[in-house]
Amino acid sequence: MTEFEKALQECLYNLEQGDSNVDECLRRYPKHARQLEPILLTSAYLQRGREARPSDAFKARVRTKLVKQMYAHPRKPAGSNFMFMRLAVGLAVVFLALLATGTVYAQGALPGTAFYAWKLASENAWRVVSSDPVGIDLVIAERRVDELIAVRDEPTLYSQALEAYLKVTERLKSEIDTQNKAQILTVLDAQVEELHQSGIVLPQTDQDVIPPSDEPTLTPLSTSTATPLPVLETPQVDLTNLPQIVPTIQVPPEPDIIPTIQAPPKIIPTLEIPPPIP
Amino acid sequence: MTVRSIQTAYKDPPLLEEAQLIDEAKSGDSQAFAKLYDAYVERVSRYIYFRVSEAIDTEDLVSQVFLKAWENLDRYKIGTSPFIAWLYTIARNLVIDHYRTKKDSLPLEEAIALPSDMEMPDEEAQTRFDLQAMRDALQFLTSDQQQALILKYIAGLPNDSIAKIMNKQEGTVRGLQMRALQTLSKYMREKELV
Repeated sequence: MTEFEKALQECLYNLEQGDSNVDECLRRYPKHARQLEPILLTSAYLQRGREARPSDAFKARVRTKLVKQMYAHPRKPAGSNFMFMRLAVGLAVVFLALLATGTVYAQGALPGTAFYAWKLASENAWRVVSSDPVGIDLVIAERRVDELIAVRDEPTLYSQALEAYLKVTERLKSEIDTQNKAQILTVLDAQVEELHQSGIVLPQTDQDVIPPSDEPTLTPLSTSTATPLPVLETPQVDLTNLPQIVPTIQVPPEPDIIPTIQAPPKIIPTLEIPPPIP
Repeated sequence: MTVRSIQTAYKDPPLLEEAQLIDEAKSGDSQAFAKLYDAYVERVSRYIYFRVSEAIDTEDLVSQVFLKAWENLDRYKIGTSPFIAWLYTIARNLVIDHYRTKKDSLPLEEAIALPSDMEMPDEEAQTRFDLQAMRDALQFLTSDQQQALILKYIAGLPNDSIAKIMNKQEGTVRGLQMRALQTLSKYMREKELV
């Protein structure tokens, strides 16, 4: 910054602060007074621009126009709520995206991994919302078989996977009815076979026992022509006239002959040396 | 014209209920915003008057400034900068857009008519002449130089506020002002205005 620029800056500052007027500044810098004077006068001159002000008619016209525009573009009363809603929607979208991504990723999880619980939870949710829970359970059972095979060499994980498999098979058995019985049993048999081929023998369970409640039942005909059986009276038993027979146990007499074991004769084998061959 | 003394830095009287009015306006209260308009319309109008050469555009631009402010009021954070500085920022951007999109701008000679609605405290011909001359003179400066001078000497803002509005360093703003004053003083000497 040159000496003149320094003088100009100082004078402008002093004028702005009201510390001095133009004449005082010029007297302070006589060497640059000729250059400074028009500039300082111009800066003072510019401040006269503050005297310009719009007329009342101008302000009223703009005001009327503005009010009309404000009514045409009303602000939402809760501006912050609007921002909050936008933020909430944004977060929800991110959350759903993460949930979807995590769920897809979790479908390949094996017992013992972090995402396995997520996998089971997503399967439960899938089952709840599905219109065909038996079909879903069959798929889940297939998954458990794959997991069993995958972790068969790790005892802790194997027992965890086995428990999960048995759980789903139990559930499938409870879902058996006349329509799906063949399908479920075929699938379960195939899975047992597959596991067997992989060297996995399932513990003996009552998996082949079909709950009696699910057995086909005979229903009486509404218009039966059969002759009804006579109703028999329940026989009455008088407990006071029971025969006084006390059962006794006869112990057979001990035999007088006590068997003995004779020790075999002590025979010491001897070696006979054959005669020398001539 | 001879100007030997100048006013001190221009200070607006603080609007006591300004923050409350802004809060109410943010909630959709148009009456509260109308009060803010009443408080600042003169300063915004003055800025635009000296920034645009076409008289006919002043009214339209002033209303656009306040409408933009109304629509974007949520972006203004109370306490970060004066409300008027935020309005000047909107006005500055609108003027820049106005010149950017205006293809058939009027020749300067046809644009110097003083709008009849910009009245003076007194109706002396000299005052009208001075203000019109000042407006014409400012058109010879670059856009940045105009803004730096108008915001400083006509709007009365300190340089740090001007720097924020113009998105420049304070030192850059000072440099713009000094160069603009030198250019303007030459022009005014030629026109025998000072």
